[in-house]
Amino acid sequence: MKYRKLIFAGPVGVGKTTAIASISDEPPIQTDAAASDLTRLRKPATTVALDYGVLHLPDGGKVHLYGTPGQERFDFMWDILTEGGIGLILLIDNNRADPLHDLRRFLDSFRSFVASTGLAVGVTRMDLKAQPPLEAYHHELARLGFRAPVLEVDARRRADVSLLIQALLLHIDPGLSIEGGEHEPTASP
Amino acid sequence: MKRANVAILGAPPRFHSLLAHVLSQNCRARVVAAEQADICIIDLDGHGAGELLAAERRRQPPRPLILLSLREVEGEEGVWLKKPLQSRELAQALERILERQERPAPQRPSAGADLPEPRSPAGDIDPTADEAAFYEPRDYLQNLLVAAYRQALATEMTLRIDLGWEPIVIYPRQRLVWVDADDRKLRAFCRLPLHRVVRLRGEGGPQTVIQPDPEAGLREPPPGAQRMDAFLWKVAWWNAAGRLPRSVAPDRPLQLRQWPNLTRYWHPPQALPIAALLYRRAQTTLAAARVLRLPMAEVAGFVSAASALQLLRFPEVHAAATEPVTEAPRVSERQGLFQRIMKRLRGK
Repeated sequence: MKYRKLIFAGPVGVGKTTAIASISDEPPIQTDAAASDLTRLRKPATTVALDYGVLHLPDGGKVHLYGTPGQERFDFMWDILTEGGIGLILLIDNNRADPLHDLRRFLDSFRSFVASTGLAVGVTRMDLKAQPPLEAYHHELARLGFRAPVLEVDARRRADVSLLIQALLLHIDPGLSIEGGEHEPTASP
Repeated sequence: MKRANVAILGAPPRFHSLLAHVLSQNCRARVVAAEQADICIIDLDGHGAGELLAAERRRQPPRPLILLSLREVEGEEGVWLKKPLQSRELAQALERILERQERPAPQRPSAGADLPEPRSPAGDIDPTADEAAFYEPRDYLQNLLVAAYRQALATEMTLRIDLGWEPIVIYPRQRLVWVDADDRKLRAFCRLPLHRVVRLRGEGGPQTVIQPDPEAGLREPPPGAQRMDAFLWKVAWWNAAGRLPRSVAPDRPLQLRQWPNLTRYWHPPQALPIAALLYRRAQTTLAAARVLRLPMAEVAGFVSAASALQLLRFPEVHAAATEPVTEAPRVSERQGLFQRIMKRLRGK
């Protein structure tokens, strides 16, 4: 299982379940349940254990995609989930009250995992709220001693999630070769 | 790996021996007689250096020169290195010359054509071939765009750039730009310096202006309006046409302050590894192209676009600190896995 897991983390409702669904080769396993706490204010159902998806590789191998539950009361699971992970895809919802506080909270929790692997930050819902801009995330990361790609993403859009994962892998190892066509940004679905 | 034949001219015997030792130990070079050399190192403080230099200037075909002296040399062709000489500086100067020699000749734009042909993707640029290697952003749309953005954001007024081509309308409140042209048309237009646009339009045509467009300001931006940052990014990339902005020397270390927002910007696939490398540590454009084994023109396009969006910083770092650390990337188990994931993600 070593080096075969990609971890998706972020606050409740940021789009972790959607991001995994948009990139997974198999229907993702979701453990949603009716929300019974403050989460209910943001969405009717939420992930209470974890999300799971799979990427099938050309050689027959698999990469497991794990989404951590967003609520703080489940943070005891985060250490177990991250064991053997390739790196962290941290999704932050720009439309929440204090997205930079969310960034700090998750980086604090995943600091040792990120230090030994890598990090890429995807900022969602910037179309609903443009502030803070991506520069603010970079400043906050630098202040906390991190350097990482920060990209605007729409979790529903496979191209965005794919590019964020590619940025994570290249950030860990810039020597990877790459092929394919030009990237043409498209309008939000 | 090919070794260069280098002659050392004008140096006193002890200095000659020292240089020969450095060249054989630290450089891809062997010391040969003057008539057999591909590259000449001339000690300008040595006896008869003036005559040696004059003879080299007359030589056909010319060969690359490395000039050593205590005092700064101006107006001479060649690479000047100040004494006391550091062996690392000599090795780097020699390596740059060898790189240029090993590259295919640059493609120059045709002087008579109204629309210069785009550079071949596989083509490369020679940092010594000034016209082909550099461009002046103020001669192109990108600087006009930056000026219009600044004005629109400061005044919060909808502005229009009228070049006698399709009008470009800037909506500062929504941070959007609209032009009635698809990317193919815009890309072709971006190849033209502005003075050529004016010439094509004719002397009697309207002047290039940035002016308020109150009528457009009353309406919402049309469907298809583009984000200001994404629009400037691609305009700068296409204005560059594989060249560097004149202010960015290819051997000047630079680093990305932050990743460009590539999910929202047009880019060729190689932009990703370029971003990763230039974000990780300061590199010269030349070194980045070498490490990534990319045509210099491709890295230059990225640097130009990042420069237009002010995503670059130019740290005063020691040259050695910018040297690549991954000349021959090791293929570890992890790298093999990462490579397969990349292939899977980029597969159709």
